[in-house]
Amino acid sequence: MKTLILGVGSSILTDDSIGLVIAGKLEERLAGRDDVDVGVNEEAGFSLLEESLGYDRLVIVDSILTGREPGTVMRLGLDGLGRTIHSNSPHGANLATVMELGRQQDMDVPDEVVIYAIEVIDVLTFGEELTPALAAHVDAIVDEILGEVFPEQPDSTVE
Amino acid sequence: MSKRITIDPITRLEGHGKIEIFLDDKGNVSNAYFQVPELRGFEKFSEGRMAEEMPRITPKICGVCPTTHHMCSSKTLDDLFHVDPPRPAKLIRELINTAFIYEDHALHFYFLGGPDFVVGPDAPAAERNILGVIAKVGLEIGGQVIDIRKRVRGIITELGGRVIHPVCGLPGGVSRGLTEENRQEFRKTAADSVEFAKFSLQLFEDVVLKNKTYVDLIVGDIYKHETYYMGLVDENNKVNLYDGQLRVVTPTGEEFAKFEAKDYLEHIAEHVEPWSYVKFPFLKKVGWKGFVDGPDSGVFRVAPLARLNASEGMATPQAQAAHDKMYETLGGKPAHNTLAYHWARLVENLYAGERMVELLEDDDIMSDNIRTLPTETPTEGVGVVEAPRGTLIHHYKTDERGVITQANLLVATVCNAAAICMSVNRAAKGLIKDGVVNDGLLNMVEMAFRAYDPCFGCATHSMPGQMPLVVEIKDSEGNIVKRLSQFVNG
Repeated sequence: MKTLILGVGSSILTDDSIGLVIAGKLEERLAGRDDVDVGVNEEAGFSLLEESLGYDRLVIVDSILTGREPGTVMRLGLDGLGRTIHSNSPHGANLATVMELGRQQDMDVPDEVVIYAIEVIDVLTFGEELTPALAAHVDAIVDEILGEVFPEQPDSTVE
Repeated sequence: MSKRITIDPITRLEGHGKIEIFLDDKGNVSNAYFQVPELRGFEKFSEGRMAEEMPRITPKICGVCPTTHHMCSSKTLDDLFHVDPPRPAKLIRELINTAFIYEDHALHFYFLGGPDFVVGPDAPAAERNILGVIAKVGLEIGGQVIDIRKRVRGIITELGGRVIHPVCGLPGGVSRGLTEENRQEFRKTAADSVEFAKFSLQLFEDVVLKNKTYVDLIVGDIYKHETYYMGLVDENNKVNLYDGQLRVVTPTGEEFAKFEAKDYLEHIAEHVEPWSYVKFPFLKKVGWKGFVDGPDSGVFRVAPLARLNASEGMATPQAQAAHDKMYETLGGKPAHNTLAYHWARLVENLYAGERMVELLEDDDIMSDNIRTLPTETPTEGVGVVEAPRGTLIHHYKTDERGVITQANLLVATVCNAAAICMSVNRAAKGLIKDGVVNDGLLNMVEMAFRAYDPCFGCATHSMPGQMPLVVEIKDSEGNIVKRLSQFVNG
């Protein structure tokens, strides 16, 4: 099974970069494995469909604001999000809709889509650093996601 | 007892925001407010950076229209470094910007605005999207949208270096030119984009214009404001999406002002309201008179319908014909019907396709002369382009080393902010009566701002959590009486 992990967000809006930061760490940890590719996408929406074609599984890492503790990792599926992933979607081309559109068009869309949404603090202030309270959780977040995505071999160094 | 209403979230809108609708004791709308949070600290973030970095930084502000930020920033650097790019470089930049507007307009029609008409304004929310459009007009349409979008984006990717955040713009020009292979491929894409734009206009005619209910909605008073309009025009006062002068017309269509972007502060000021983070631009020489329309109010509008209103037509023949047909149907120019933004967007889409064909026919676009090297000391620069959502202005000041000391952006949706507030208010008052509030009516309130194709959150990709845009309906005592939540928290 081939997996694509994509960190999404903006690299200049403080905690909105958490998906990109985590993707960078995951890329290091998964280096050398041929069953997974890791990338970033600062646009999301429709381009997620295009990027994910040909993969069996798509794993997205994004930020979320729900009022929970910063650094909390929430595992979401397309079904749970339905058509409500607004900010992942330029022009409302939300993830669930574009994946369904891809299936309708007989495109080779992933069979499985998982979103890891990370509780953040500030996505409205320009800045290239995470807020310290969130940054403190980065390593733990990486471990948690790796443990879930690859429960048998969570690290390239394990192989 | 009075009520308050919350729509929650507003579907298919990029970014975060909130609509509050206040009902009086009889259940009628006393007022409605449209609020959005503002991104903070751009000025401070920019200070101390080399100006040349700005075309690569500013596109990251917006996950929706990074290409136009890149182009606007590149033009700002031209002005800042006092350098005029060679004509081939301008053609290449215009091709990239035009390709982006084409792609963006097409997506808006099929994904965001079109579903309101094609599927129906009171259809279930879950069906008012591209899948609902396909269910109505056929599976092959989805394939065509995907195909033309991919190919037009191919132009941006190839010439811009990267599709999402182009890197080609430099002070004085661009970093690479076209190959003959590029040109042949892009010509085919451009020709096909014209055909698809004509198909989209035909679809609009068949589905919308042949439906009396929809036409009545478009021309009715609920979605109408008589404002000033602003957009870029060429030397013949025709719409131009990349360059020219900013032209402002009055609510009756007379030219009110025409100026270079560098003079924008002489013409545009900003009004502040205590209930909104967003500042409301208005025409300085008319003045701020509140959220009202008419010739005495400085409120102006930008984006497709405003651009067409502010011009004397389109610079390409088929778009001109579509332009004429639109204004004949709407009863003359300027047209004040907010829902006609959708129609104007499709007219512009056809123009963008035709313009891409023209640009690629121009042999100058193949020239190697694509950059004039800057030799002067940088000081201050202002740049302008038309983004899909309206006029975009960048303004930088630097020290003699080219280090940013001040930066300001005037973005399209902010230019439309006052008008959007007015449109939401009028639609809410016209649609919500005697306390009767349902999803269909609230969607029709949403349609009042969706026509503008607003983009408030810019780059914030965060999942909404408690939702990106909240619409609350409140009674006269401030109690929320309706909240239509579609989001399932993680």
